[in-house]
Amino acid sequence: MLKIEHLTKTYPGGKVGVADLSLEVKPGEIYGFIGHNGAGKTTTIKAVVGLHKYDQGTITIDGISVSADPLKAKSVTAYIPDNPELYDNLTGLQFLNFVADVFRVPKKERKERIERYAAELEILDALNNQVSSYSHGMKQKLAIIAAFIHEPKLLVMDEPFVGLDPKAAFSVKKMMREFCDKGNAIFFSTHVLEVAEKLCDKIAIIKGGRLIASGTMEEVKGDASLEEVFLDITEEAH
Amino acid sequence: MRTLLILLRTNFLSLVGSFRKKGTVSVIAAAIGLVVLALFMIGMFAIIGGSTTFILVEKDLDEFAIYLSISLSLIIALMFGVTNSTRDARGNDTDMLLAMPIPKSCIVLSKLLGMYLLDVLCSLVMLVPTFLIVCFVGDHSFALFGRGMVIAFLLPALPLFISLLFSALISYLKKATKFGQIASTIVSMGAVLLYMIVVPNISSYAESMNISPAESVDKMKKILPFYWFTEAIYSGDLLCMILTILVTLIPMVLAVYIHTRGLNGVNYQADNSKKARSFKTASVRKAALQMELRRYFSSSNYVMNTLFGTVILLVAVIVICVKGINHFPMLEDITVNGEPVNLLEKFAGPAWAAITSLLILFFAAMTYTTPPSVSVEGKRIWISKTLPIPTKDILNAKILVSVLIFQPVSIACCIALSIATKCGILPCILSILISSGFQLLTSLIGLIFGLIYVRLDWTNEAQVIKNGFAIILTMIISFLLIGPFAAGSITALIIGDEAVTYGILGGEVLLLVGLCAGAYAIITHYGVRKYESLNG
Repeated sequence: MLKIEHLTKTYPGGKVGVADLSLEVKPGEIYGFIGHNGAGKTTTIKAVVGLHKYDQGTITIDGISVSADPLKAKSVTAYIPDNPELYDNLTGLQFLNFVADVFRVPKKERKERIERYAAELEILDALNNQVSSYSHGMKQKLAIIAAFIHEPKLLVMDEPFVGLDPKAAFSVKKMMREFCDKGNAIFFSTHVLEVAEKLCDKIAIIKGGRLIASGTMEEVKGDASLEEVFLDITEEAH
Repeated sequence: MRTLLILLRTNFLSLVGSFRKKGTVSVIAAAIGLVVLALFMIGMFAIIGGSTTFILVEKDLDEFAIYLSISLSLIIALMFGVTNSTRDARGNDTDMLLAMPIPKSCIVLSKLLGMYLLDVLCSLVMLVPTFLIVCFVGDHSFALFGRGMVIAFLLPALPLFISLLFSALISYLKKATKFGQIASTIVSMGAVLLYMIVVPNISSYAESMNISPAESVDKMKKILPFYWFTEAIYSGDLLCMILTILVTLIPMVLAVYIHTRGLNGVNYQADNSKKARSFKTASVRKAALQMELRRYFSSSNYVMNTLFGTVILLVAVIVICVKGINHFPMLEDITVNGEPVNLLEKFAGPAWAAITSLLILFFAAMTYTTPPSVSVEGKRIWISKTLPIPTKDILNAKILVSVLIFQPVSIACCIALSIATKCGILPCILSILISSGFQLLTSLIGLIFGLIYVRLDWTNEAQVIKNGFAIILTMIISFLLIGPFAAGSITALIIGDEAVTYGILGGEVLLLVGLCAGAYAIITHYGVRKYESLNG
């Protein structure tokens, strides 16, 4: 579903964001992406969703090249940023309708999906309120609904659980699993290693812009806890 | 008190820091810009206040001169206060400050004092020349100047209180109804219009005053608080002084008290109104356009700064149509050998198209929504960049907003003026093409500058809507572009030949088509690339 090959991105001034990074997320997989702050997680994610241009390598989503056909690649992808800055002056529903319009979601489906996801995440009553009145967690929930509304094939999430209350976090994890069980895929970054350990089918660890470990959860951590392995590997690479 | 001083110092350091982070060149440019603007404003207000006072003092209306200057300074302070109060004055730091062991009243006072000091500056600039002229030319003791200075410090509390009340009303309307934004925009425009009507005409009002000092007292007593302020300065009347202090200080104390009570962190309130949820569908292009239109109309700052030309154009054309072209304030002064000119007899047919289109070009140059349209996306630019919307459609939506806002009014004005001047259908069509083409051109140029001088890291949208370099450049270029069209129209009017006029107007249309095509080509090539390279 998502294939990254030899991705390299250098920022102006020479700072290496990502160096020669390759990984593959297959249909049905939840793929966790972990690393220290500044390791290159967000750079990789932003390159995948078309926010960052990159210097070398290829990224394909469902066989579509992100650089050659960005619109087609975006039409099967959804992105949830770490800090969802949404249109403050719109109501939650106006924002969701906008996203649904862009992805051409028919009226019947959008109504059903918006009401279902909003009820699941408990913001149905707030949909007619302006986004500016939302808390961080509510904005995050709105961004999550906007991502699910058009049933993408690939969901890219940057720290999706930040700001969510325990019930919403549980609901989102359930939604993620159901989403992948339908043959879609999720690529997400997180600092919460317990979540990654329980939720992910595969995992990749990045440090200094380079991939230092990747594979199934068993391949990467064996019998140890992910936390111990992460600390060991990143220390070794240091 | 110590905490208040710390907050004031921090506010000042924050203001200085906001300049420092922009780099040396920007700081120097910003400093020069601020000094020029300050000198212009101070000079303008001082000249208006001084000249009005001088006229009245020469007519022995010293007290009325003080009264008029006070009224003027309060109207100006109110105009600034009301237009500023449409913004959210809470500030980004309120939550952080509330979490610290700082009394709420200190937080409110530190914020209000910043606004108050600016108003005091404005008040002093207006009133000091008045007091000096009354003292020296009107031959009064220096005690009058002293009293005046004290009251000049007190007066700004009144407009500040009124603007705070207005701010509270607007925020209530925004929460309770969907008309808060519209109300805020209308009242802000009303305040600016009041300013535009009163300030330029105050000197001519003073010149036309033919009343005795006793009659002037009767006039002043019609607005009692203003009379008390004047009497307190002019005669030092103790009762008026006490009343002045009460009238200015009590609202200020009330404002601090009410704001202190109401100052809380961001509270989310669930929507219990059970409003019907709408799930209307739209095409991708329409969705992008709707989004741009919503973004535009949801920001009173944006509307205020860009719609003004359109509103003034509409008002001017209504006045022309109602009063007749020969009685339009600026045109009725045109005379030949001391005789008023009947413009409808002098000009006919295409000549009116030349005049009409030129009139509308000036207002088109004042209506520019596109320069800040990219910057205003700010950190939300990730939304349009990660959605499958072609970049060209996003940029087209920005141009269309500008077109949709100005063109209907412009076309209606062209038709109304054509009827008023009986110029015929072809000249009407030509004036529509020229004014619409010019407005489209300025929108395209604005978008190009908006893409070149983009700024996405703002904390308050006013930073890009009011002070953007793209806006200044677009305005300068737009007014410069009027030059060739003005030259063409004036040439046509001087020659006075119908065929030549049609030729010139046709040439202007072709020139606009060429310029618009060139500017649009820049947007579809350079503009698209530039937008795609932006990162919020």
